[in-house]
Amino acid sequence: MTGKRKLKCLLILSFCGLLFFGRDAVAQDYVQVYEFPKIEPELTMTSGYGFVFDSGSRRAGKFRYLKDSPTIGVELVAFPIPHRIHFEVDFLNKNDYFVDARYAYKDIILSRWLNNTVYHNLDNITLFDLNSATASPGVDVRDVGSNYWLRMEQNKVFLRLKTPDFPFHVYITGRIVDKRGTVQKRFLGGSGYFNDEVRISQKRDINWDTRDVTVGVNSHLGPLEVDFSHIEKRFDANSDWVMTEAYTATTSTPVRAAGTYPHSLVPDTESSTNTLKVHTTYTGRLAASLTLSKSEHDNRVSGTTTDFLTAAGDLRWMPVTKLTFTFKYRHKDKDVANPSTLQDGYYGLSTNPTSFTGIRPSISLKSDTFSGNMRLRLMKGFTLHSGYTYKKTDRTNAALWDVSPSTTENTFHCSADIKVHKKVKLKGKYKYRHTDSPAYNTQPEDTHEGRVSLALTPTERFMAFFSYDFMRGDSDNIVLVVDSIATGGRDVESNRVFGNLTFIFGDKLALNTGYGYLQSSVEQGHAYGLTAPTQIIYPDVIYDDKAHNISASVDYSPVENVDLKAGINYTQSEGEFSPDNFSVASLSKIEVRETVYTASARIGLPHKWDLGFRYELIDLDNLMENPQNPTYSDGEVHFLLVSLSKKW
Amino acid sequence: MAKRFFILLSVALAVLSLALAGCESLKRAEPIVPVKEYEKMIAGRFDANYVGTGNCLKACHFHDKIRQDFEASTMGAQMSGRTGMPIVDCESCHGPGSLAIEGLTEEGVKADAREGKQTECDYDTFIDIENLPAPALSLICLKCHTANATFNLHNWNAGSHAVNDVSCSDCHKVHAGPDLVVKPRDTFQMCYGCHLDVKAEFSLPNHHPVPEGKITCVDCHDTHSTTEDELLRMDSIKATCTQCHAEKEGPFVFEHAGQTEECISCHHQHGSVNSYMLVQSEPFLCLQCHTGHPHNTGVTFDAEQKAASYTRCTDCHTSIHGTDIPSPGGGGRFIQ
Repeated sequence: MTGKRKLKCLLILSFCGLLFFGRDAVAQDYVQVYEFPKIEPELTMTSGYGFVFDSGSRRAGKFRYLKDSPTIGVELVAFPIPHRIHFEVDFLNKNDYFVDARYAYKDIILSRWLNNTVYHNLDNITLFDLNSATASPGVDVRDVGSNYWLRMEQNKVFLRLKTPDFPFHVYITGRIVDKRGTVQKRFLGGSGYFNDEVRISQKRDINWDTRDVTVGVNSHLGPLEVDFSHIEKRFDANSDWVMTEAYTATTSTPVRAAGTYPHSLVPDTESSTNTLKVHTTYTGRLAASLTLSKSEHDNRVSGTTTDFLTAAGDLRWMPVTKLTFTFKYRHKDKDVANPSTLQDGYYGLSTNPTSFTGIRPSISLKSDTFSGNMRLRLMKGFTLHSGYTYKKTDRTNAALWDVSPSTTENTFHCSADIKVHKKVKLKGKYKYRHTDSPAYNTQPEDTHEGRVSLALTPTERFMAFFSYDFMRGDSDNIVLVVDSIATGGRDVESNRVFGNLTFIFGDKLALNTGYGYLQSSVEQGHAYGLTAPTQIIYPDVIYDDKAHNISASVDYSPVENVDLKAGINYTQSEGEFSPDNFSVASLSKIEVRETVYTASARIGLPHKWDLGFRYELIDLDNLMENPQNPTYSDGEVHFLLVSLSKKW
Repeated sequence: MAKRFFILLSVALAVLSLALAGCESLKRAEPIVPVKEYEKMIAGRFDANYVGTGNCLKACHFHDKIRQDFEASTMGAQMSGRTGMPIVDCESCHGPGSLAIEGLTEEGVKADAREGKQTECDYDTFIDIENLPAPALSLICLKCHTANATFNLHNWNAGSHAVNDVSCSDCHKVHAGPDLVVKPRDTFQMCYGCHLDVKAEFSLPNHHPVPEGKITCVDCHDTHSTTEDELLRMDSIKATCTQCHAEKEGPFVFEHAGQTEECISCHHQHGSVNSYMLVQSEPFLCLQCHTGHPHNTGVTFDAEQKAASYTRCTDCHTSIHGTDIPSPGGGGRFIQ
């Protein structure tokens, strides 16, 4: 058959296909049009006033804007079918509000706008001058009494359009993160050498924007579903992108002349990503998905680039409902290209001598991960899971960074879910991982992890849950950078206990209590100084932290239209670093107690009016008062909200 | 030129035909190849017939609120034949209802109602949803949603929620109202139901503002599963963190090797005892991989220098996430 004939045949077949399927599409016009029910819209409007009283450390109200403010709330849910509208606004103050607006028309238009803000009271850490008689190391505190804060506003929009009568979608998502505020910047001044060090703290105004836009399409291609998307992301540090400081001359080699040089540069960056997703399913028993993603990241200040390639494949096979196998493959390739040298005059810096601006090539990575999991329901109420994962990571330029060029991980896990009785569920889980040549000391060579949990529901009015988690990890011999100093073995340990009890008394009263204990520790050797005889190694230095969290809440409805709630959340946490023979322990110890009390009431009034009260007390108690760092002093915040709402 | 046009046109038409074929198989709601057990699980009993929601609820108004909510939901909107989408109604999930209403008459139901009784259907003939294993329960939803260009379910089947027997209805309360979407600020309470350890981590003195309702679990995690471990929303841990902390993303001329792979080498993502959500306090954190500055030698460091150097390493190594500016001693020491 000639090429022309082949083309003609293909065309005819295609048109036949269209005609065949188009016939059914025409037949659909005879389907009876459904009459949607009439649903009355619901509108709730709330107005109130929030009072804030704070004393001591602003850390107590770290995520609150500590000013009184009127409050407004609106919630609208309307279904003038085929339109569907949801609108929710919660305005607490000018730095704390939330918007969720959704609109849909049939299944043709789906849209959403989400807005939320985070206000963060930041620490002003005091640099403490231990000995003002000596010039180096000295301190230069330029921000005494400054209050630091950060406000992050996040806007997310989503719009999806679908072709009528056919599942072809075009969608666009956008995300804008706007960070503004005044933050503390601590940095090293002087010459930067040990004989001329000045620790400096000062204000820095920030105005950073992150914007990303995703445009994508997806549809069916026969038994396959395909999605393609393109993402553009851009970060702008705007006007305050770099700071400068008058540095003194360095006297050691390489020599840098005295002068004003930049520091704390925040570069503008941009990235673009293309992603292709394909998936298919065969009766639900066999499901497969494939993802290919390629991404390019650029630093618009220095020209450094990073390319990412990600490939992911998933396969699930359920030969019978009792047995499921899942297989996954992941490939990641990160290729970093930083310039080999900086140009002379780069931000006022001289490249003479070149060793001053010598650049160590960054580490690039390639990793491949294979995993397989099995789920077997041996009998009703008894399910077993097990799985194995193999991961290999290869690094370039590893020798320059004193890290392993290749790391291999083998992980095995198994778990059992047992329904001992209709009202008693028991779960057990164990995971073991062996890592050959970890790149960083923080990754143990051998890790054992486990969890046991018990859930009890003896009656519908009482529920209990208990669990214990553990992790043990060790490495035989860790090596510190630089100069490959061996400091012996490293052990890590973690223990966690959780419990939760829920009591329901009749229809009016419910009580919930919870307890959590978290502990983790690391034991390893530390080294100071690079070479003998000045080098000192302290073996078996211990870091340990632990926290107890107790919570209780009660919901009470004494009469119809009256809801009362109260709760307490108490957390005591401590962390300690205990180096033998080295007296900086007190600087590294932390012990904090934080108690949050909450109480709220809602009283229903005639004609769908509601009166609401909400009170919150946050009590921060620093148990390790440190005169060298008054930031972590005690603090209290009281928040009272009184509101009136009307529902239509 | 003409040949190229014909090739392009043919390919376009072939793709369109395939696409329509895919859509048609959807409309018929038939498995590609029938598998008995699968069909039974989804359809319930083969000896029952579909009677339609109208017949199910014709005389019994007990489920009217559920019906109304459902019909106002996204799935309900697809009940219109004009959408060309699968007809989603009560029987789509509960199975065919002819046996359940067998023997019932409108008059009989009304008579019961006059006596204050609710006429019950034979519920045993429906799919036993309450006792279905999680994967089967999810399949009731997935029979449409994996074949409906619902791309947030792209990785669901091999994801950790599905593998660990979490089903769709654990999070989406289909009968709770017309709105199947969990409100963003309510998600953490829902997630805490299973993840008590995470709840405790968010109670630690330094945490992301999730309990305060300022950010949500789904800002970082996609509960429907992704290509990443821990259901991370983005392609890597770093990409997830730099959604908000983009100033630390880079790439930089001088990179911190540890940050090349994981932010969580140094930070705990939910909460920590330590400032800046560090997994250990400074200087211990840094001294796990790095040799400390010399001290106690009688030559270089005195007590003050020790204290200054070992309070917070990042007071001096201020650009620890990476920088484009060389340090006073040359190269990247993250001092500038």
